[in-house]
Amino acid sequence: MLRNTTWFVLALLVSARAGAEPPTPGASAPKSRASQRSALDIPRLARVLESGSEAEIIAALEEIAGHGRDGGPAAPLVNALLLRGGSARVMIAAFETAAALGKESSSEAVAPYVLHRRPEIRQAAAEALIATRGPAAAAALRRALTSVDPKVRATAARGLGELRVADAVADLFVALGNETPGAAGSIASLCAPEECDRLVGYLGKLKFETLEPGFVPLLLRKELPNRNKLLYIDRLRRLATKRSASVLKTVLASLPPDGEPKLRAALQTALQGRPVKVEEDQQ
Amino acid sequence: MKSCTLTLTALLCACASSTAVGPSFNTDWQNDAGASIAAVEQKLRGTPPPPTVNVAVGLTADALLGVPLDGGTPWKHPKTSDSPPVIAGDLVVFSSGGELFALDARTGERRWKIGVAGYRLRGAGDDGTVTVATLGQPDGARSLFVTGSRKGSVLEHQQTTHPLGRPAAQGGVAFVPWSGQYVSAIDMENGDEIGRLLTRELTSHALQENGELYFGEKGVIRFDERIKYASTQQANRAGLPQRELPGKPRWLDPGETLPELDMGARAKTRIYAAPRFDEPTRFASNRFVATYFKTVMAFDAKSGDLSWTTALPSDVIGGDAAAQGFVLCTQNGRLHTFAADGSPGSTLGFGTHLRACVVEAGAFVARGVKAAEPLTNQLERTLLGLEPDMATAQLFLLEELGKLSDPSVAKTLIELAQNPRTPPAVRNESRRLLSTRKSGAEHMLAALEAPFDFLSTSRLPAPVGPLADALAAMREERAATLLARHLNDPATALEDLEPTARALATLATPNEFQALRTFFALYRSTADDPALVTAVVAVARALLRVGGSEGRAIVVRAASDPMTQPEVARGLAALDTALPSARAEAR
Repeated sequence: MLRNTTWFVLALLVSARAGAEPPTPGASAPKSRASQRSALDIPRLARVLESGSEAEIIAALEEIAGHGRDGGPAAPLVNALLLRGGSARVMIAAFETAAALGKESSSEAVAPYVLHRRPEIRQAAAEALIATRGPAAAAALRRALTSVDPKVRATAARGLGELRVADAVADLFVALGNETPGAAGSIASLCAPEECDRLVGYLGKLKFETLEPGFVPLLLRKELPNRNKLLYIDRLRRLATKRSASVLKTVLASLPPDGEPKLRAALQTALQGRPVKVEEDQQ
Repeated sequence: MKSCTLTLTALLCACASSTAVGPSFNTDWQNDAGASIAAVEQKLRGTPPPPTVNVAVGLTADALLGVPLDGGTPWKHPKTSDSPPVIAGDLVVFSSGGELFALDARTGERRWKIGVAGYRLRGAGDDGTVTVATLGQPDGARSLFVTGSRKGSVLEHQQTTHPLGRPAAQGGVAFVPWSGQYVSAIDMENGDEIGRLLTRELTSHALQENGELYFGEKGVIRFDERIKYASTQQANRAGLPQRELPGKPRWLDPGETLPELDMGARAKTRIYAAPRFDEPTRFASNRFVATYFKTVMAFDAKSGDLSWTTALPSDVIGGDAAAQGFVLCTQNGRLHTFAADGSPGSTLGFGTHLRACVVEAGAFVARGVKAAEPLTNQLERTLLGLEPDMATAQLFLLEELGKLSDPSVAKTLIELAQNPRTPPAVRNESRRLLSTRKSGAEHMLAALEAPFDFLSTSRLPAPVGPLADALAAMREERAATLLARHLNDPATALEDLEPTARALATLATPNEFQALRTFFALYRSTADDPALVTAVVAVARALLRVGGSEGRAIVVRAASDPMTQPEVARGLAALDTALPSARAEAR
């Protein structure tokens, strides 16, 4: 009895923290059908999650996850379960549930699992952190960039971009140097102009397929000066490969029909195999 | 036919002789209780020693090269040798194509040559006037004993089926070991055997060192007033201490075998020493040097303790114990001198790679140009400087390092454990020694504190387990936080987890509670390895110790949770001294 009470109090404490969270992107998503059907029975779910029955716990976690972001009130129960630990199946289900709830408070509970010795657990934890977001998630993903597990590194690289952790760019360059998938794309979405120059400077030094995911987002970045973009377009033109031409075509097709005339012209010039002129005063 | 003639001549000469011993190398000789050899010793007592030249002689594919150690002009003789050359007095003696040559050791100029068809040089000695040489046939069937004057005339020429060893000469008498137990003293002018020594230990070498004569192989007896007691093992003897050394090097090769131009391991694993009875240990510099390819190790000649060590850039293929210090010759044609205490001295060079190298440094004094480092530093530098294929030497030096109590030993052991080029056997031994260290906590803490990122470094993770064992034994509480961090780091090897958790059970403070709880949560249900199971149980013990009521509640709950891994649950139940009280508190 006391045992249950202890964990319930702990869950309430974490819940109080969760209630103080700022709204996160996507938090105002439409309510899921499940949540519209029935409200979560928190006391019952708390009992089940503490039951020690793997099957019942997984069922309860699926029930909570079914409520999506509306399942927020159950987040403290999930966090408490993560703090206690459990079987691999239960932990992976808990990560998926935490991801479905998208509560920043879950990041602290999920984060240690990125260092778990079992690949399937750490990989699932890294994925969950991208959804739970927040500083704890960002810190854990930065650490995960140096994981021994390449899948975790790739997830972390992608996640840092998605979480827009701009001060992780230096770490991402280290990961890029080790050909971590996802690093180029994240750098492209976060980089300051000089960092973007550095990314493009890796052309010819790293495999094209390592860098390729970065070029389309880079050339479509609105806040990046046109001068930089034109230089990058010309750099890709000079490669004169099918893959580099494909990147340019994709960017051209992705431009709004009535916008970015200079960029459009430069892309068309490059695709014709002609040099792209960059004027000094071009911004 | 020529051989038969020579044999007949020898026999006739021998029969004609009328000496205390009878014909040379005869096997009918009866033990004379040292009388004849004592008479020879008495006769030669006070005889001036033969001249010596401090010189190194290298052999290339087409020439003999000489480098005087005292700074004379290097020389080159445009003829190669079919066996290792011998420095005898002030001559360099070598055989080539059925001829025996003698060069002036100072200048390389040829002094004489004599025909020795079918034979190769085994050993030679010189008393300043007459040279004695023993030679052998490649099939080992016969040996040849020759003496020659400085003008190249053959004074004595005897063939025998007895295996002859390496001779020496003094005062007109040749000393020729043979059949493993005799040394015949032969008048070099007429071939008469004027005395014979019977020894009770293996004898295949006669050595001329610093004006004294010695006989032996494993050890040596001195040719002095006690030589007559050799047959009863009461002669003055010098021997090196028995030590198991890398490559099982020998001081004196079996002298009755024909020496080969050997570029293999045997030439590179040798012991260099010189008997010197005026030293306390009866050896020059009171030390001997053992080589193992590039590794040089000097030992106390009495205790056998390691005195100093170094690693040279190339394999050692020759050398000699100097009057003070050592001179070593490497395959790349360099001569390295070391003072007796190991401080490196000047280096000289042949300017080319060598097939063989012999050194005579009996009167040379090697002086260091800079002070010798402490032995700990020498061991560190040597261990880290050796290539991975030198694991045998590294293991030996590691054992020596482990005997030292200096705190910096821990640093070297950590470096070896983290260096990816360290051979596995050496790494394992480094880890084992590290776990038993009683000093060097600062180095250990620094190793635990250094961040490890396998993407940015080629080094291996810190040897957390051995460090945990050592720091726990030292009761070093500063290690707790660092160990707790490594506990949750998947870069920490599985084999290191158990000692880390065990150490934390002793060292952890409430500051480590969070890290302990995290580890316990992560693995109490997912431990899939015996080491992990043991680690989880050890962490539970730490939680009980430092976690207060919360820690106890965590462990008590886990002990009865069906999701807890069964072996972990059994381990938790076995914490029977802790759990009942913990349960009571939880209630």
